[in-house]
Amino acid sequence: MSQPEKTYSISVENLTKKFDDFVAVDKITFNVQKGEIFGFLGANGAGKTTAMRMLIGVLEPTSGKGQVAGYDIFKNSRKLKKHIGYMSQKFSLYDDLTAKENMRFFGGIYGLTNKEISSRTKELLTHFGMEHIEKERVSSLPLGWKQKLAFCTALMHKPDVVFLDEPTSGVDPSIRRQFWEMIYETAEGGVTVLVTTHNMDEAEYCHRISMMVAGKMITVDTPQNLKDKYKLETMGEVFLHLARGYEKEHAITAS
Amino acid sequence: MKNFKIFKGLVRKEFLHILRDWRSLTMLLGIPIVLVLLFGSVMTMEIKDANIAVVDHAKDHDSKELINLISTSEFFKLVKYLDTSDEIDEEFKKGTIRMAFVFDKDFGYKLHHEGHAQIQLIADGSKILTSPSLISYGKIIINKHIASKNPPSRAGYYIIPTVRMMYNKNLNGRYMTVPGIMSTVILLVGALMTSLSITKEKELGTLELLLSTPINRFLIMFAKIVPYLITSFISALSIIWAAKYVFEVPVSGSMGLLLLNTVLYILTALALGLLISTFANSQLTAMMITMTLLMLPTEVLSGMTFPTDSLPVVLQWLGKLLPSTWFNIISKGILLQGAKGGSLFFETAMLVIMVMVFYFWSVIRFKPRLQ
Repeated sequence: MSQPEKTYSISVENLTKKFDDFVAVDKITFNVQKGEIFGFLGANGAGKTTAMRMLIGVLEPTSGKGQVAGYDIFKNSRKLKKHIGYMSQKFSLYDDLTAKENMRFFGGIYGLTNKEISSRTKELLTHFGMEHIEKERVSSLPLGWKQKLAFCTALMHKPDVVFLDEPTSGVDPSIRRQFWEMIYETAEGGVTVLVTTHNMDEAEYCHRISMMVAGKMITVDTPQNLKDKYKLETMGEVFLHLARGYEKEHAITAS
Repeated sequence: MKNFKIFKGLVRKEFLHILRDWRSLTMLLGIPIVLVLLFGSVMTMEIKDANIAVVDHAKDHDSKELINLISTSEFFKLVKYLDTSDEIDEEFKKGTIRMAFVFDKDFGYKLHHEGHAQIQLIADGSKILTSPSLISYGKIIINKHIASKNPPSRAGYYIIPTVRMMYNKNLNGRYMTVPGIMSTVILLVGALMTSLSITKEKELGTLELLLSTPINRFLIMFAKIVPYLITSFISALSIIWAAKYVFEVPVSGSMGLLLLNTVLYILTALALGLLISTFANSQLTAMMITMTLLMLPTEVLSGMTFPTDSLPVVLQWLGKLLPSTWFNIISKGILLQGAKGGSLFFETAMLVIMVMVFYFWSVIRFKPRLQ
C-alpha cells in the first residue's frame, strides 16, 4: 500500500476554518515530529480546539493542507481516525460504566480483539498505577483520575498521535504532575502528542509550543528559545509580551 | 465480521446504560402499562347503566309500563323521580343523571284517545360522545314498546329498525380506546428513548469522541435501536396482555400477525426518535419536539379518539403522515375485525416505508463530522 511520505507526524499548511464570516483558525502552518510533545498555547477562544478538531477529522477545514499520521485530513479522515487518539476538552467517557468497561468499549470500536483489549487494559492501568480503579464506575472517580483514565482510553489502540484538548484543566497540581509524567512516558514510546492548554506553566513542559491569538499562530519555538529570545523568565511573560505586541500591531494596521 | 463485533460492543454498551439507569428502565417497562391501565379505565365511551331521572306528570298505567321497561333495560338505571322539569337542570349540574325522560300529563289518555302522546328525552349536549347514543337507545325502547302495543292490523304497516353495531356489538368503549392508547404510548415512549439516548451523548460530549473514532455511523445509529426494540417489545407485550385480560378486548385475528406488526411499529417509533435526535442538540429539545410532534397529533389526528372522517381534509392528510394512524387501523383490524394479513397489506406497507424513510433520513442527517 502506498502511503504518503512520513517525515512528520503532523504537517499543516495554511489550514483555515471559517464559520460564516468569523475566521476561527487563520492560515496556520506547522510541523510536528514523531515522539514530540507539541503544545497549542492560547487564551480561550483563540482557535486551539477548532484547529485540533480539524486535525482529528471531526471538523471539515475551509482551506489549506494537512496531514496527520501520514493521512490527508481532507481525503482520508476515516483512515486517519484509526491512527489517532483523542481526549476532548469536556470529560467524555461514559459515567455509568466502569473504567474497564469504558476501555473495553473504545478498544472494541477500534476493532481490537477481546484478547488485545484485556491485555492492553491491564498493561495501561498497571503502567500508570491505576489497577485499583478498574472496577469503579467512572462517576465515582475524582476528576483527575477521570482524566487519567480518559488518557489511557485514548491510548488503547496504540495510536501514532494523541490529541489532548485541555487535559488538565480543573485538575489539582499533584495529579497534573502525574498526568504530565504520563504524557512524557507516552512520547518516549514514540507517540506524538499534541496538547492544548491555557496554563502557562504547562507550556514549559512541551518540547515545542505554538502560540495562538485570534485564530493566528503568532510563533512556534521551544520554550527555552522563546524565553531567551525575549529575555523573559517564564512562558507566561513571553505569552503576554507576544500577545500584547500582536494586538497592538493589529490595532494599528486595522485603524 | 469485524463490523459485527464492533456492533456487538455498541449494543452491549447500550444495554449497560439501560440496565444501570433505573429511571429509564421504569419509563420503558412501567409507564406504558400504567398509562394503558389508567386511560383504559378512564377513557370509556360505553353506555351501560346510565343514570336517568323520570318526571312522570301522567302517573298512569301506560307511563308506568314504559318507565318500567326503560329502567330494566341494561342501558339505563333509574335513580330519581322528579316532580317538575325544573329540577332536571339541577340534577344535571350535580352530575347525578345523564339523561331524563319527561312524560306528558294525560300520557295514557292521549295515547289511547288522540293516537299520539309526548315523551321528552333530555340529555346533556356537552357530552357529545355519549348523549346521542343515549337518546337513540331511549328511542329504540320507546318504539319497540309502541310497536308491541300496536297490532299490524290497526296501524297498517310499520317498520322496526333493528340496529346492530358490527365488531363492537355492545359499543364497548374500551375496545376502541385500548388499541388507540397502545399505539400512542408505544410511539411516544419509543421515539423518546432513542432521541434522548443520542442527544444525551451529544450533551456529554461522548458523541464527539465516538465521531473521532473510525466507527461507521450506520453502526452507531443501528446499535441504538436494538436494545430499545427489545425493551419496547416487552412493554408492548404487557400492554397486549392488559388489553386481553384486564379490558377483555377480544383478539379476533391472529396474535402472531399482531405481534409482527407491533415489532414493525416499534421500529418506526425508534427510527422516528433517531430522526428527531438529528434535529435536537439537547435532551430538553428532543423531548419538546417529540411531545409536540407526537402527543397531541396522535391523539387527535390518528383516529384514536375522534373519527378521522369528520376532520378537515388537510388534517386528514397530516394524520396519514403519522405512523400511529396506520397502526391504529392494523391493531383494531386484527383485534376487533379479525382481519387477515392480506387485507392490511397497504397499512403494513405504509409502516415499512416510514421505517425506511426515517432511518435513512436520520443516517444522512447524522453527520460524521461536526459542523
